[in-house]
Amino acid sequence: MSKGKTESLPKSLTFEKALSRLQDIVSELEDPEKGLEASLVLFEEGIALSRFCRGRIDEIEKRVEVVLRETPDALVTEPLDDELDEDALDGEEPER
Amino acid sequence: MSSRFRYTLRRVTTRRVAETQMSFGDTGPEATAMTVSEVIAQINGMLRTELPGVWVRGEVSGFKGTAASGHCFFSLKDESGSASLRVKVFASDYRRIPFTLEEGLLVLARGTPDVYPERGELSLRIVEIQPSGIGALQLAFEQLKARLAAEGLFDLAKKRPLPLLPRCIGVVTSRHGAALRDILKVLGARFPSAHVTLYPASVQGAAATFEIVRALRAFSRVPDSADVLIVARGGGSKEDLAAFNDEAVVRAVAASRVPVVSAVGHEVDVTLTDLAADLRAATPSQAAELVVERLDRFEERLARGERDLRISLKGRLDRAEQGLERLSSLPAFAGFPATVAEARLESRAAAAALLSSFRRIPVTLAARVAGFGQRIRAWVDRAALPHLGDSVLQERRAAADRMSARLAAANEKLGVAAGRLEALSPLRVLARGYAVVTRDGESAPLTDAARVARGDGLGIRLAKGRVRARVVSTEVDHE
Repeated sequence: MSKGKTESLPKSLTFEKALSRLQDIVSELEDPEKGLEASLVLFEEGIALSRFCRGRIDEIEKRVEVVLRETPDALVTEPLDDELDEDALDGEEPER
Repeated sequence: MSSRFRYTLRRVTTRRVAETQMSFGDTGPEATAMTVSEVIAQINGMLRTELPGVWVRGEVSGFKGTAASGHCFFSLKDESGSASLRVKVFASDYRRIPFTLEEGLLVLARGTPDVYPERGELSLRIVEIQPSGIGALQLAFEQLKARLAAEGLFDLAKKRPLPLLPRCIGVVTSRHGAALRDILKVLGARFPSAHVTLYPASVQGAAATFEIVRALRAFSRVPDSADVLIVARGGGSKEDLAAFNDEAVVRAVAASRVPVVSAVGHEVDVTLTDLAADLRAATPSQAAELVVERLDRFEERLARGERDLRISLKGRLDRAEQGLERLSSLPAFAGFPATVAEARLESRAAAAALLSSFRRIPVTLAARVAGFGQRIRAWVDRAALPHLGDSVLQERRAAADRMSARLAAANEKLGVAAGRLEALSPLRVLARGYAVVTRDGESAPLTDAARVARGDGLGIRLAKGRVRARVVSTEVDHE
């Protein structure tokens, strides 16, 4: 049921919009004139937005990759797992 | 004219002119003399062989911009002023000069000297010019900066906000540099699950410009390859940062479809890449801090949002309860015995029962409120997410339990109150012979004869059944 709610969120929803809408909803719910049914609908939307945001965070998989070459529509990568060589700083000074 | 020409020749040319003169005596000048064209052709041949593409350092002198042809003619002279050389720059070469020439500017010019046959004048044909010395480098930098600024590449209005949560962070820097190491270290601490794609690029040397531009364009070209870019290089000398002041790199940064954070050199070094970027970080580590919020802050923000939602909704439910309580004191009930007031029902359902004894309402408020209670509990359970620690979860369940306990208590009170109401039910009052009279179109009982007039329709509720009636006359009590 809650899954249905998340799916009912607009397809174009971004993380930024979801978070800002969530904050709007909290303020709207504080409006004493807001009807009970309307409040419940808002509450449900707020929870769905919060779940959406958490979902977006979860989707990010820890990966560190290095580009090997390009194809017309993609970057071909491999995991960057080589030891970063502290001695070969490529002429750069370390940060102070 | 001729003597002056010879003089010029002696000044300019070397050994082989002397050989020519030596040969004069052998067969006589009439037989061996060269034409002027031949001499100049020979001189030019020697110059091409002996001084091909020589670099000359000198001050720009007599600079008047380009001629109508687009070519440019001026002189280079030693700083002491003791020597001067005419130079020419053809239009095609002039356009490639990365800065604007100015009178008095010290430059390094590469070209080949030759003599222009028609005038017999020696000049250096220049194919490349660089500013020489720190002052000139600075000037070239300022000129490029002014030109790109005029084009709007650094406009603040064009700066884009960074995404709050980048799905992938693109990094353009050297694979073996300090910058990459610093960025990965900071990201690992802030957002351990970050997805980073490094497009390796030399950050100094001849290939740097090409490689940085290639990487920037790749991230722009391939959709979803990154949500934000970091272009970085650790500290270095001014010359080491040259690629980040290169026009092609600056333009690629400005044209990037993905927002760019620049982190080049140390805080004091501001490159044109920094100016063109959407955001400038002082160092690569700071760039990593700017591209993504700490993961725990995200968690905190969402948890706070959810908590505020629950608090607000609970407040709303409390107000609904109070509203229902107020219903019991509506004027509609004013005409009934004072005991009704005694039955002041905290429970909204009691008010509903009272109301429904007058007219049916589709769903009783009591049932709706009870239904809400269940739904709220269900939501709170659903909203409990694995992210949250057990303590938060327990706190949330406890809050839900408290709320449902309150609702259960309210419902129990409702039962008691309803029983008391039953005894006081208006229907029982009616059974004793009273009737409730309402004016047509009104639901509140009629309590004052002054409020109706002859001809008004009335409804009369008896213990059993209803009567429709019409007012014949009224008598108003005068107190």
